[in-house]
Amino acid sequence: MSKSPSSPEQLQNRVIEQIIELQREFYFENKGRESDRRRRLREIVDRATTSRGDRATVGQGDD
Amino acid sequence: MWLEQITLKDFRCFYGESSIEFSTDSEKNVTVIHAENGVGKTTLLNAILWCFYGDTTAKFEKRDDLVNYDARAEGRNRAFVEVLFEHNDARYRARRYTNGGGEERNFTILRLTDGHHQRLPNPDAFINTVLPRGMAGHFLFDGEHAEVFLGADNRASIRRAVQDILGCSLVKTAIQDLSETATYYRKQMPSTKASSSMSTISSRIDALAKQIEQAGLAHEKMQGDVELIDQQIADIDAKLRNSAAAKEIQTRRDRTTVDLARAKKREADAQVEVLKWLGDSGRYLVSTRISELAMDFLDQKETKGRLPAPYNEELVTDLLEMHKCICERELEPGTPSYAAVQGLLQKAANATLRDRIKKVSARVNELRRERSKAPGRLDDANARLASARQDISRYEGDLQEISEQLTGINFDEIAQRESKRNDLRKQANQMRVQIGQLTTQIRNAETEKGTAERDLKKLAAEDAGSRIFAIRYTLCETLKGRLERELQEEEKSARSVLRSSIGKVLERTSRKAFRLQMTEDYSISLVNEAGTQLPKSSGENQLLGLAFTAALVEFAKVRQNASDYRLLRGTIAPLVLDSPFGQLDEAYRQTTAEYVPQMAGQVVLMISKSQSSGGVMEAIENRIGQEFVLVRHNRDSRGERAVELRQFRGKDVETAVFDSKFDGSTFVRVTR
Repeated sequence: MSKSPSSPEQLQNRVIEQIIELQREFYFENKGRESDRRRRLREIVDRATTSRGDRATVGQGDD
Repeated sequence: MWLEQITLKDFRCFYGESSIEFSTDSEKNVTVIHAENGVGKTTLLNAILWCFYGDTTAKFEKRDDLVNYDARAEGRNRAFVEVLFEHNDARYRARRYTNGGGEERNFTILRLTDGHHQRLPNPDAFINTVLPRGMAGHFLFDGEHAEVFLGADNRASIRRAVQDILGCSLVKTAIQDLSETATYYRKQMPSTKASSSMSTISSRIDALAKQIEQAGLAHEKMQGDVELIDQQIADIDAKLRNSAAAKEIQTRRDRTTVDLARAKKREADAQVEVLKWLGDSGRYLVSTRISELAMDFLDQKETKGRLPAPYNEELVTDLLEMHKCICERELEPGTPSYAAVQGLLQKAANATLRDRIKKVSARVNELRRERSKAPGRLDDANARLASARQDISRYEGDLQEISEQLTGINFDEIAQRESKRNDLRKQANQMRVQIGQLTTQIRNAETEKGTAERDLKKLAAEDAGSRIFAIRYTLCETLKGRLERELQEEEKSARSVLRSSIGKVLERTSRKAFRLQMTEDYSISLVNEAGTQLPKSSGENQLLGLAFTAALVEFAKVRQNASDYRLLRGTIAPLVLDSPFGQLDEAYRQTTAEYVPQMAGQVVLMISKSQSSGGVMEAIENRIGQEFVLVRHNRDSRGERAVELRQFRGKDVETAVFDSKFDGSTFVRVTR
């Protein structure tokens, strides 16, 4: 199991990696099913924000 | 990827099975396909795309009507295209059938090793790793539309091209997915005490998002429509360029007709001059002998002292009547002296005779004088007549040639095209105004949406039930923003690489000292040293289009081992150039042709007879590995049509065959 991210930036990096991996899988497998892809993307975001999710938004400073 | 061979079976204009091998020699890396318009160049290009992706270019007409008509009439209802290619030291055979054969799959790829073959489980995924679909189109250069592609309104297409080669597909879909997912989380926020305000704000965000989306779609559609209109205008321009040539010929005909009329007038004048001369001076020539004899006679008489006569008749008569000689001696009739003086009357001349002789002498002298001048006048008149007749002959020849050139040209159609072109320009201008309005509308809605989103987040953070969704919503928005920024950074560095690459191509091929400018919004222009934007000719636009394609191909090659996991890797693929020299003048053609073999590892060059002139073939002669001619077969009889013959490597090839068993095209290999 991969090591837990220690900062919001690391968390974001890991989530982006997972999302791109997901996109790659659908791109090359040519599944083309948008709803499946988005459901799996929500699962990634849910996982990233369930246990230590609060940290994901720390220091983003976008509002 | 290196293409080795393509086989087409009953595919569009290719009746039965047709096949060609591409050159895989790294030195002689160019495969030339000579083809006139309408013979199958576009079909060949689309056959490759269709085989790999089941898709064709938007320009390809009747995209679902792929089986050759004659084959269908004979009961064959399926077509296929097969491409043999090499990739990373392995050989593959891709084959796609049209639907309807009952086979398990329409698309297969076999890996060929030592006489064995292994069917790949997911051919679509595989081909996308070899040459991603998004990139494939950029390896196919459509010369006819190159100038439109780089037009002012095609910034979106240029950006898409850069993003495609940059391999942004994954990032772009990720951004779209994150945007949708953010909306999903926003809507999940439950009803609570603060829900009333949150609900209102959320609805407003939805409405604004919808407005932005609709305006964006309208904007994109309108932009696409403008691009399409510009393409139509370019098509008309291309036809009008030929029409302009026709009009030029017509003008030449008018001018030559006037010249001919003038030459005929000159001929008539010269003829009159000759006749007049004959009337005026003919007698001088005719009387040459008579006047010579007369003068000789007069001269003789003068010499002998008879003309003019030595005695005056009136004087002799007076002496005889006075009976006295001029020496005072008496002259009595009957005397010998009287008889001697009377004898002088025989030689004496009277006044009338003297006058006549004087006149005859003067007239004969005039004849001699005029005769000496006569040939000069006649020569001049004859020279003018000959010159007029020579001009008439030339003008008549020119008019005959012009008439042949103008046969079949419909000038009404040209006028219609010009009118249509003006209408399209007006339409495009109106659309540009609307595009500007939509841009403002989108910008305003986005500002308002941003404010509403900040308000919503603030409220959600204060509400325990909504907090987790607010966090997820914010995370999606944050990741989306980050990917957008990263994409922009990647594009920025891509633009820099492309700019430099295009600059190098232009340096080699262009005769003007200019440099390329590509702005952040992908507006492409040529500027001089002072940074002033220069107007581009059609030829320079085409050259720029070609340079842009060359730069994309180079960029894809550089990126083939790119390690950034977010972007698709680049690739090496053959470059297919369709009519790349159309708008270039001869000097540009030659320098550009010299550069073509360097544009990619493998180049397929499709050119017509007119495009292969001007030193093009000489420039690539040593780089041609394979050469083919596309020949058109017609069921029709030849009728009045002239024989279309072209010579390749000393052999005649008839490029349009009549009384054939089928309508379609075949390849003829040029033996090297």
